[in-house]
Amino acid sequence: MIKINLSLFAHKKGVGSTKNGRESMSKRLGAKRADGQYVLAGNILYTQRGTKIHPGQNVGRANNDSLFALADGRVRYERKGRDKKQVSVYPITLTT
Amino acid sequence: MIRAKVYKNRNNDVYAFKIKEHGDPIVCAAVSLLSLNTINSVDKFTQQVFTHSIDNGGFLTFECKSDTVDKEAALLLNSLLLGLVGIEESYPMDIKLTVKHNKTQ
Repeated sequence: MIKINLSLFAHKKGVGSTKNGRESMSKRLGAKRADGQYVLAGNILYTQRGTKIHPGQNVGRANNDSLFALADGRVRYERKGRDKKQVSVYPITLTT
Repeated sequence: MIRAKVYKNRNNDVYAFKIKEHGDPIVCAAVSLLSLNTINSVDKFTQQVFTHSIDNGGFLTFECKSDTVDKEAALLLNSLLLGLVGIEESYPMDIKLTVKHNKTQ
């Protein structure tokens, strides 16, 4: 009697299956307003996970760590200490 | 692609087959089971004298010694051919079946 070998004509011998092959949707994180851009209070400036960029003057941090303007004004990305960054909004009086 | 050659004698009964090379795992499992079980069945349930050779790298041959195949063996071997034809219909890219009629046998 011949032993039943189901992989007799198989390509590769005993190759297991992979446990990979899943991926989540990209969340399009990053800067939403550029440095020097005029923004209104409430505008989202930067979406992130954690604090890649910290909130500076007139900038708040939402529950999902997004940074948003607390006042109308111009956006400034600045350094914060030795190795951190922050974003601030400086009110300006628009001349009409 | 798996290549299967089935040989028929003048009574139109299968008396030999040769299967080689590699294919899709599902088709491979089906062909392996079909062919190996056919050989085991002929061995266990019939008095047919035959020779076979097998190489786990993907090579299997079977041949009946006498030129007339006894009824039970013919039934099993023709059933094998039926199965191979069905697999080829469903998976034409994975198996190539050739049936050869041998007038002398």
